Amino acid sequence: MGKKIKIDIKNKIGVTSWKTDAHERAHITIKEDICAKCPHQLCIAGCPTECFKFYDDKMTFQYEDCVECGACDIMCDQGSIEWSNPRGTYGVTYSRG
Amino acid sequence: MSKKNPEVIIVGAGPAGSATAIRLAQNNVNVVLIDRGMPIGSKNISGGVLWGNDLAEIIPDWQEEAPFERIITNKKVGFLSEEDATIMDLHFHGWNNKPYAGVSVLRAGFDEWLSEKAAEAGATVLDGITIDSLIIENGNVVGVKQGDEELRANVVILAEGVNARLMLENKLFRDPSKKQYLRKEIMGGYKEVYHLEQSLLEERFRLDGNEGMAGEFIIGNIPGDVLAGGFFYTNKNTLSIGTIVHLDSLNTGDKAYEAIEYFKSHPYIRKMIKGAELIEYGSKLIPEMGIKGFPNFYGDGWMVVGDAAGFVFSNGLLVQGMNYAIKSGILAADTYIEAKRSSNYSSSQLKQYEKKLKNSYILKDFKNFSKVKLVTKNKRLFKTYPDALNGGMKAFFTETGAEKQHLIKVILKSFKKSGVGLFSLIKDGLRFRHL
Ligand SMILES: Cc1cc2nc3c(=O)[nH]c(=O)nc-3n(C[C@H](O)[C@H](O)[C@H](O)COP(=O)(O)OP(=O)(O)OC[C@H]3O[C@@H](n4cnc5c(N)ncnc54)[C@H](O)[C@@H]3O)c2cc1C
Ligand code: SF4
Ligand code: SF4
Repeated sequence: MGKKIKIDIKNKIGVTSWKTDAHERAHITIKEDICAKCPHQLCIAGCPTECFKFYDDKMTFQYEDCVECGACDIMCDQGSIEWSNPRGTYGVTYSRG
Repeated sequence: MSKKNPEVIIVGAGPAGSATAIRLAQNNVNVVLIDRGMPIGSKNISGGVLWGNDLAEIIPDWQEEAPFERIITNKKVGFLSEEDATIMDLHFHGWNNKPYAGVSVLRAGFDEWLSEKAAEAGATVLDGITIDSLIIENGNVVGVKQGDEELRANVVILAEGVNARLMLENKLFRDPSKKQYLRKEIMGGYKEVYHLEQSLLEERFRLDGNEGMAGEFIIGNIPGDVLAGGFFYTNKNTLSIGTIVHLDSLNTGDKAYEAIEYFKSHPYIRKMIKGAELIEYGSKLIPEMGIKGFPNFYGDGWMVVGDAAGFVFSNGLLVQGMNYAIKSGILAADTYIEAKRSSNYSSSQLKQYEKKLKNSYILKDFKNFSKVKLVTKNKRLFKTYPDALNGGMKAFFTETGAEKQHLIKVILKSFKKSGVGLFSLIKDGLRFRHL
């Protein structure tokens, strides 16, 4: 196989639009204590916009860049993720789809 | 939400929900169609090509007025290895005639249009509302809730798409202990849209007028275990390009979103987007539950249509879900219209929906292709055969000055070189009959 490709996904999602809800209304939350003991961190592997980041020995989650796909809730089998749809009109807004 | 109770509430205005609403409204059913997107369509992604003519059942002249992009007349299917490609190029000139075999669509505009057709037919269409939960009384689904507000109806139709939170929350799966989808029954779709000057696009893809091209590939240049297919579809002045990744092939350290970078880095694909400007990126899941993983399709006071029911067909070379979404919506609407005659909305009556699904091409397709995962999840299809096939083809067509050999001999040699035993090769060859 050829060489590994690295991309800056945060740069790429600059072309996508959101209407971001307030922090206390975040539609997804994680339980840090469960993540701390996670054997695989597969949420990172599945998320299309890198909302999960293992940083400073801690799993961090950023709801603002979420495109509401639901992949993390499938990749995580540890029961850490609390997933719900954002309030109506909030969240990702595609203009092409 | 409105004070007077409707007869039917539909959650989700993708193709499934809107088709259901149109059919119901056309039959004078008082129906409310609710979507969390504003405008409707702004949450939705597909490749996408809408195949078939199911919409004609509810909008006979849809091919005249729908805001589709291009009429597919050219299809490419192929295997990409590190830098080589073997591609089958199908050109069906007759696909240019009505009814078209398939049209490319961008869902934001398409779904909005379809929901407007529902409103025109008489449905009440509410956008920008997320339904939080179902109201269930004595096992009957009797309505929906948003915040403190309730709306009740005879039947609730779940058209919420693949990430079916209401289905999951209310345990409407066959296996009531199911709390989440399994990695093996869902794929991730990752999509980009590029802008290309229309004249350049038409020249690049050799398109006359509003002809369009669809391409689907097995991607063989991704390192590690990740299994992914790639697609591109031409639109009027944009190009849709994306990947579909088997979530169960991801290991710790992988990133599903990288697959599209490998796809685009392949010389064959790279040339397509040269000079094009990325204008959107997004992601959505694709169900591949297969016949055994399907949820219940109906219950007391409810039915489920489209992706939420798992109705996506994929065999590695094509993905179809919109047609099943529309068709299942029409069948659920017809089931309601029949149920109304006896005012019986319990499962004893709504089971007619499953019967209709079985008699239609929907469940027939899933039954006929029940073993397709033997092919689509076969690691060798992605990791070995693209190399072997392209290596063999290249060896055959490269003039070296040596004595020529028969094509089949060269290809077999290349497959052997790739390390696949004859036994596996025969087994896989036999599996391809499931495609
Ligand atoms: C990358 C990719 C490529 C694809 N390519 C193709 C293709 O080429 N051809 C094809 O036929 N299919 C394709 N598909 C599949 C196709 O997109 C789906 O099968 C189709 O969209 C299913 O339609 P649906 O109406 O069931 O669900 P969706 O289109 O997902 O619509 C669901 C709707 O419900 C709304 N909703 C969900 N929950 C709530 C709630 N609680 N309250 C209010 N509203 C809610 C959402 O906003 C959304 O509008 C592709 C899919 C992907 C991801
Ligand atoms: S997979 Fe689940 S438990 Fe593990 S790190 Fe991710 S969110 Fe936490
Ligand atoms: S829903 Fe999708 S985009 Fe949002 S955090 Fe989960 S994986 Fe990432």
